Amino acid sequence: MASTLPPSPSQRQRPPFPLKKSRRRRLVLTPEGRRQLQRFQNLAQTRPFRIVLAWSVLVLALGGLSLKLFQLQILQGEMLVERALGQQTVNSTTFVPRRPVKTRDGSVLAVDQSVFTLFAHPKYFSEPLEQVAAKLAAILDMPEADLLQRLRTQETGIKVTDAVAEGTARQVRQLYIDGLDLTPRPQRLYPQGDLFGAIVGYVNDEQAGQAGVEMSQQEQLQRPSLELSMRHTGDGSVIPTDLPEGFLHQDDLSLQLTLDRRLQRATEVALTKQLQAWGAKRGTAMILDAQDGSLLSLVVLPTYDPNRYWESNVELFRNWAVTDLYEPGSTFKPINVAIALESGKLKADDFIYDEGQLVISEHVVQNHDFSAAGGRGAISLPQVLQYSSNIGMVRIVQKLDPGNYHAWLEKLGLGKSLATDLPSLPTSQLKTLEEFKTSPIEPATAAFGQGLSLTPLQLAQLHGSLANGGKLVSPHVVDGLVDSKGHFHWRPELPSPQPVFSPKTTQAVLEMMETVVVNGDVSAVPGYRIGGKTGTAQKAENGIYVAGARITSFVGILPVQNPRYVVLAVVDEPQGGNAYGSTVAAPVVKEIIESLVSTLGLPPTEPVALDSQGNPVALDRNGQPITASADAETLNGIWAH
Amino acid sequence: MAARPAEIDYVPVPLPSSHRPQPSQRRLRRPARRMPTRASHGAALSPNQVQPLALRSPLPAGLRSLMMLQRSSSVLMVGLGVATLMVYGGTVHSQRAWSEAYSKLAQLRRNEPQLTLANEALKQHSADDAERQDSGLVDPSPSNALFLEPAPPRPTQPASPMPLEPSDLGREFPVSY
Repeated sequence: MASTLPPSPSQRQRPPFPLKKSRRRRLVLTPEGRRQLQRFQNLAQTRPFRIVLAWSVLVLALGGLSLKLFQLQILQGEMLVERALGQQTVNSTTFVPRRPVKTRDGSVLAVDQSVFTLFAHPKYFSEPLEQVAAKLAAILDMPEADLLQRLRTQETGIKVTDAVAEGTARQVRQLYIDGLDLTPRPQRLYPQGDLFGAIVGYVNDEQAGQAGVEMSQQEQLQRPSLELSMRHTGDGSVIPTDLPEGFLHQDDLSLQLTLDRRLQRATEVALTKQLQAWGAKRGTAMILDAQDGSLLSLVVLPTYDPNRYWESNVELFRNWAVTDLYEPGSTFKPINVAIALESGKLKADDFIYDEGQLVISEHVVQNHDFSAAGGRGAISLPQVLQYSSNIGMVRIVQKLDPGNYHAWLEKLGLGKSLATDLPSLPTSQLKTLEEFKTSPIEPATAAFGQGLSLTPLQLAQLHGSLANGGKLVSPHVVDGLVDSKGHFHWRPELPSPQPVFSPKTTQAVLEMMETVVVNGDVSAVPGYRIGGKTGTAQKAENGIYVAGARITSFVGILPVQNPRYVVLAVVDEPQGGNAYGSTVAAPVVKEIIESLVSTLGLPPTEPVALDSQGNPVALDRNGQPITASADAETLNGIWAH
Repeated sequence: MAARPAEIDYVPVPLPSSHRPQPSQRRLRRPARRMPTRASHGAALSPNQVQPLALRSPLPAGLRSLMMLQRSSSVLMVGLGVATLMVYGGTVHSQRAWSEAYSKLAQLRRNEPQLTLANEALKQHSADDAERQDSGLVDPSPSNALFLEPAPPRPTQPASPMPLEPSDLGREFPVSY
């Protein structure tokens, strides 16, 4: 808003001081005013010193700043960035834990935990040495004098202790003492202890498996580790820029085994009982699912606790069911019968003449009970198996010519090593074709299971071929890599099942094996049709059979009408005169089968009334348990006992 | 534009040296002299006629545009400064939040195996307890198992209509018990 001065001086009003900016007054000057203004301007022009001084000071300051900026940013820029990165960057391999190992029913067998290694650098201690030692000794539960002495030995790099747990590490950190360094490292723990020791194995300090599944599945168990360079701020937190892809992602895969914890426990209990009762050196028992070759339980005794593997004998780290060869003895006889039936040289209802004793190439071969029972004459095939007649088997195998028999044995995998996913497999032993052809004692001894050697696992595989209709499956313990939702991300590549027998042959042999169980009352479980074979073999060392050292075994296959499971128990060197497969190993198999059918809910063929001890409540006149489908004639006149 | 009177702010006129303004009056400086009423051109002026004086020539276009530029760049600068501060604050905050979340993740990852181990230890403990002689528990075996054949599936029957209750008829008369 403009206003002009009033004309007369008397009416001139004082301009309001200070002038409000909102009401700027516009003034017009008369020439006199202009002269005054000119004078002022001249004044300003003739004495600019102070203004110029002020101006130059400010400009100099600004110039100096920009010079410094130029120097820092452009000249020293790279060097400073490098130095900053050098201070911030930490090259580390992050703690990537090994994948856990689980059973099919979800029990955890092996899991990684992070523990810390405590390093002390006394050079950087912010408190006196004695104080630090006192505080640390209190937290770590170590003798103080010891600790003090160790801290005095060096200036830096003293490893105080190795396994500091999470909570203790937090306490150490909260001391806030400079010069204490906690580095994480993984530690593998095995919650099941020695129950699965022989199968899972253990790892060494570099997290490399040394035995068992830890060794054979090293690739699957090891997560790919990232070599990271991360940048840290002053307080140790990570700067989240330039982090590599996949830095945060950690898969939740775990290795699932085919084993079942309940069955493993039941197997171990049964085997331990007999080992202790007979004072045996070692034993093994396993349950094989013959349909796909997965092992439901595999127990090897004696065994070790992988949490404290260094306290055990090195020999125990071997799983002897997988790595040690033995001569199977009579448990191999059903296989030979199947070979003979399959080759067509024998029929299921043939009769074999059993002399009881034979002389072959200056060797005397006889039945194990020859001195008691003598020769039995003409016996049927089931009876050959029931009496476990060696001569009967020799006669059966003599129907095949040696070359053919040898080819059959090779087809079954003898002379080769088994394809399985446990480590350290040996090659099974078989005499050569030349020896088979030239010396007739060789096929004869092979007929009753001596003279050839294989591992217990391989024997289970061969009986598995009888159980699944004639296919050689690959026994394995690894199911695959499973995520937390149960989806498989990886499965092992197993060789496809190889047919060797026909289903007719195997069913015929199984029914013969059933008579062994029923007539011999070995490992009979009422209500279930089980086929079995005992085995008692002399142990050989350096080619000479050791007197009194036996290896007893029993194999059971159930259910006979729809065979699925093979249960094998081998007991090495039981003590005592009455130590045979039927007395030592068969009770193990019976108990294992009882647990198996209860745990998996296998229905019996015919429901049988049992009392609390597991004995049938009533038997018919043939001594067989009364089943639910017994007819009136059988029931007539039977008294319950 | 030359016809328009120049607009100027009030220009303080320096006082003569004899008269020094008091500090309290410094702001209240009065013009020392009266404004002359005569125009410098010599023409007779009436009191009501004052010739406007252009003390300052209109600013050259360049200078004016520079001033505009300065003003607008100041505004822009302030805006950018505020934006920078906001972005900086956001960066610091997000980095701190990330660090916190990451350390939480690392802590959870360290806790997970401990939970697993505790769970397994509990299972072992209860299994050991169960196996003791005096626990009153037995191993499962066929002698204490019942096998039942499931009944064949029965065809579903339509639901039969419910018989009418007395209350459905409405409370016309009391129900006596």
